Amino acid sequence: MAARMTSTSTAGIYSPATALVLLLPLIALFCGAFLYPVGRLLAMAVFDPDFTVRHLAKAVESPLYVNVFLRTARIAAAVTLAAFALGYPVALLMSRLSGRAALFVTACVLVPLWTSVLVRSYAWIVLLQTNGLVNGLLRWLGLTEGPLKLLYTEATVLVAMTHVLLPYMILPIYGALRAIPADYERAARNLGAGAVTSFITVTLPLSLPGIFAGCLIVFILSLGFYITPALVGGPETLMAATLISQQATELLDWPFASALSLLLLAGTLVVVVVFRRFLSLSKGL
Amino acid sequence: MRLSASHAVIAAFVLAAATAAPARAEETVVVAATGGAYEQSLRKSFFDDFTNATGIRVQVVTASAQEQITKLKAMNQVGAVTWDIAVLGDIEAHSNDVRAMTEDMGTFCQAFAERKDLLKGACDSSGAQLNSGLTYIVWDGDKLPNGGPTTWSELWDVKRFPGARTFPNFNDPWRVMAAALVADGVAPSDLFPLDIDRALRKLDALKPHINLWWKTGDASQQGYRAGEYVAGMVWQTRASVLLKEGRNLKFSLKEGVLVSDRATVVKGGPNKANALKLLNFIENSVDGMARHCTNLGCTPPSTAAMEKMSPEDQANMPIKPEIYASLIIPDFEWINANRPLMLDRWNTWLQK
Repeated sequence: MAARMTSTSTAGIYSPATALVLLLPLIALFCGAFLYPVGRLLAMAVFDPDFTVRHLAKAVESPLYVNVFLRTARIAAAVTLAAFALGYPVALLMSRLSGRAALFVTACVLVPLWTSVLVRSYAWIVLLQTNGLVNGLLRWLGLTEGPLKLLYTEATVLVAMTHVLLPYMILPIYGALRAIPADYERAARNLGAGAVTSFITVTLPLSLPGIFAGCLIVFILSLGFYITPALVGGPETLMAATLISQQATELLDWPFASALSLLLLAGTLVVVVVFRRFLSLSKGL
Repeated sequence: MRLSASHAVIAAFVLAAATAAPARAEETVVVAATGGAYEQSLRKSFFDDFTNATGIRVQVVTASAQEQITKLKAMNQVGAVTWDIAVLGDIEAHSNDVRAMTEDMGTFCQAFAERKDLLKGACDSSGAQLNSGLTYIVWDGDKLPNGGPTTWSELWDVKRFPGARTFPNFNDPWRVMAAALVADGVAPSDLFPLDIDRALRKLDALKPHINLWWKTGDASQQGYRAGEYVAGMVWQTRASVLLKEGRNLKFSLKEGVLVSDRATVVKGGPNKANALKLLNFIENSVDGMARHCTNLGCTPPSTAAMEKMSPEDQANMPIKPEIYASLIIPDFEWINANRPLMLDRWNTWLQK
């Protein structure tokens, strides 16, 4: 407990001026390599060359684009839910283990993170294709007669995206769970709470910041997902990122591509603000 | 010890600087092309010989055709063009966007006006054609042992030729629409302007049978190996890879979609003179053209090059008059003008 308290006190060592100087390289990099190009790209959406909302209007008025944005949001939400349901128990286990077992579970979470998204997505193709491992197993067990269509569906996209994004859910939750002193749960158990009650009333609420951080990261990454849906999804699983790339590289309509990007970014920012609001509310629980 | 180590480091830097200087003076030409087997074949068929003959080094930048055009546009906007030649699809090479960024090659082509072996359009104001190939019908000879669909209308006939189908879906839907219209009875010569509504209605009927919409040539090959389809529309270059693997793949040249690749000279590139030398070398290298198309299973832009290829390879080219007359030939102007409309309609149809 005492060690945890002192760990945050390093913030006081540096004066605000020193902190600013130390941050300058990062701020310069952020402004030069991120803010400026993104700003220029987004400006293209509304200046062509004079101010216009025609590109934004085209995106909002077309049912095609509205539908794709809604589907993207729906898939991102479903992936976030699935990653949370699968990730929380793993994070809980990681925070409770020690020694070799902890190392093993941590490796299981981190190694996929270091593997290319392309490789992980292709692995799903190998598993789920018509004559793949899963269909082979189902037939061997006598559960199905012919091969099932497992690949190139929206469900496959959900499964593969959840798999790819799972570490981004587990790690923040794990961080939050590790920060909860074991004494709290012991105290709850001491005062007569059962395992379930102490989890629901003590551990879960205290891990909420980690849950929100994990959900936010996974949701935002899902909104911009590109490779996995393209590889394992069917043609109807069009996502926002695919549409933007079509406009940018196939049609060279950069103003419209940036209008679509602007809408995606605006939607993402709304989600961030709403999540932040939830986060600050949850602190008061 | 430490002193000598730092001396060694300094010596290494001096040495590197000394050797870097002549490298900069070396003559080069920068070519952007799609990578993999295509780039390999360009090197072995043309670039290596060109470097041996002229001493000019060919530096290849790998990018898909669409990435190339996007990057060219960006390079033009910031005024820093670093490429000399871009190898693009023939349709894209003729678009207004690309023509504004590439040199007019009309004068260059006059040198080859007398060449009887060159096909019509082999050299035109947009650049030099390197190869052409089909997007055609293939089927699995094991699953359809008594013959497969040889025309688009037969490919649509799932009663006579049962099994899953494959079609491309790489943001360039005109080929699939053209095939659907021919299946619906439109003569290949009357295709353009494409009747998009009619094409999509015809595709409605086959949609439930289309198991694999391939986005990359690699996916169409893997789909065949994995049994994801029995018949469908794939690139000839990719089918020839499967044939070389010894797969029992059958194909039909009839009603194939004929598309070429063209080398364009980029405006404002750093080594324009070398770029023209390279294209001149390619136009005169009939042996190189023959090797290139033997490697890839394509058709060279010169009849002299065709004659240098094996009889088996020649049999796989759509050059017989009755085959050639059945081919689907793209209307560059219409396709380039209607890209946004086609893609919008296509995306909407896919999501139905």
